[in-house]
Amino acid sequence: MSLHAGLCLNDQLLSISLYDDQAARFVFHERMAAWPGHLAAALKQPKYRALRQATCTLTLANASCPLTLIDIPQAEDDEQTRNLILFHGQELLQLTDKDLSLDFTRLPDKAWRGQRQQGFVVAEQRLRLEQLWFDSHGMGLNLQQIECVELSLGRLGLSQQNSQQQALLIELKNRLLLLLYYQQQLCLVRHIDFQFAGQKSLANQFQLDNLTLQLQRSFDFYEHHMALGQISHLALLTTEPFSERNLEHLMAELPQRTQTINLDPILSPDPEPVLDQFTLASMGAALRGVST
Amino acid sequence: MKHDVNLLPSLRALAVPFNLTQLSILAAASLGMAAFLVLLGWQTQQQQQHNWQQLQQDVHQLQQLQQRLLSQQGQYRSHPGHPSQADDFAAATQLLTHSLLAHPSGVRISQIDTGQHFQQWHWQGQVERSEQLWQWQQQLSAHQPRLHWLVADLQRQGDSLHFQLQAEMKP
Repeated sequence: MSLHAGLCLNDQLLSISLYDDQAARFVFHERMAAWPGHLAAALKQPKYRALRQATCTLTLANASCPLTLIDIPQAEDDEQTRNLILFHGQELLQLTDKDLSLDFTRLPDKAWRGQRQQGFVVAEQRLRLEQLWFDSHGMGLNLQQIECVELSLGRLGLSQQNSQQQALLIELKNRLLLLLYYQQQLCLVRHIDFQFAGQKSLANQFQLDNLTLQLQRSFDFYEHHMALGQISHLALLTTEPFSERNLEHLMAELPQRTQTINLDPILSPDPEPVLDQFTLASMGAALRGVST
Repeated sequence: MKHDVNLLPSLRALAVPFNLTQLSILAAASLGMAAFLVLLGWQTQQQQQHNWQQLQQDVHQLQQLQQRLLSQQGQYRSHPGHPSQADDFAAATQLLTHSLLAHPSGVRISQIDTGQHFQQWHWQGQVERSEQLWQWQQQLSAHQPRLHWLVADLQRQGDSLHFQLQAEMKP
C-alpha cells in the first residue's frame, strides 16, 4: 500500500488528507485544531495510524513570504541562488526577517523571449520550519516536503489536464486565485478580489464584466509580455454549486475552452469532506507525493 | 527545470555537511557540581554533498542527544538545591539544535559545552575563512537576540583557523 498525506497548516487549523495509490482516491479528510497537540493525540487512535506509513507534504497557508515572482539572480547552482536571493532579500522581497529559509521555482526558458530569468520564491522563518520538522519527526510522520498553498492547489487542476497552456481559476474565501501554466509549470499567479453577492444568487452583470476584464488582462500579459502563447484551456475549481453556476455564467464571456474540475471520483466517500480552501490545499499537497 | 519548491532541504542550504559518527556525552555531573559538559565529536565530510536523507539521520541523532540531556537533567534535579529550570533546559536544547542545523558550510564544530544552569554556551571548532564564522555568529545572534554572542578566540594553526564562540545570557 502506498499512502500520501497532505497537511495544510495555518495559525488556527490543520487540514489532513490521505491518498491511497491503490484505491486511486483519498481515504480520509480530517480537520483539527492547530499543530501539533491535537494531531499528536489523534495519531494514537487506529484511524490515524496510517498517516505514519505515508509520505507527507505539508503546505503553509501563511508563509512569512508568500509565493512571489521575482528576477532570479544568476548563480552557479541552486544553493548559491538561494543565498543570493536571501542576500538581496531586502530589495527583492522586502524581507525584514533575516533568519529565513527559502526555495524557488524557475519560469520556462522561453518566458520573456529568453531575455529575463524569473521564478517564484517562497520563504519561511527557519525557526518555524525547524519546529515543524522536529514535531513531525517526534510524531513519527515521514515529512518529505514543505511547500505553499498556491502550488498545492494548482496540482488539483493539473492532474486533470494536459494542454500546453492552461489556466486554473480557484474559488477561495472572498477571492479568486488565478494560476497560469505553461507545460505544467506555474508562470503567473493572481489573487483577484471577488465576492459574489450571496452564494445563492447570481453575481450582478457589473461584477461579472469586471472579472472577465481582469481575467482577459491576465491572459494578455501571459501571451504578449511573457510571450508564452495563448491560453487555450480554463479549468474552474469551486467549492459550492451555487457559485459554480455564477462562474459558468461568467465563462460564457471568455473564448477559452472551459471546464469545471470534478473531484468527486477521488474524494473520500465517508465522511464527505467540507470542500473549502484548506481541504483543497491538503488534497493538492498529498498529490505531490503521487506525482513524484 | 525546477518547478516545485521544498523548504525543508533549504534548512540545510547554509549548513555544513556533517556526519555524526561519534556522539559522546561526558557528564561532569557530581554532587558538588551543577554543570555538565556535553562533548560532541563527529567527522566532517566536506567534499560530500549532503542530501535530505542525511538531514533525517542527523536529526535522529540529535534527538538521541536531547534524550540523554534530559536524563542528565534528571540527575541534577535530584541533587538538593539545584536551580535548573525546565524553561532553561528547553531553550538550551533549542539553541543547541539550531546551532547545529544552521551553521554555514566551512564551519566544523568539534565541541559544545554548556555552562552552569544553561546560562552559558561555548563552541569550539575550525573554520575555513573568518567570514564564515562572522556569518554564523550573525545568524545565531538574530535567532537568539537575548544572548550575548562573542567570538572569544580565533587563531590560525597550520592551514586552518581555530575558533571559540561563546554565548551567555545578557544581564
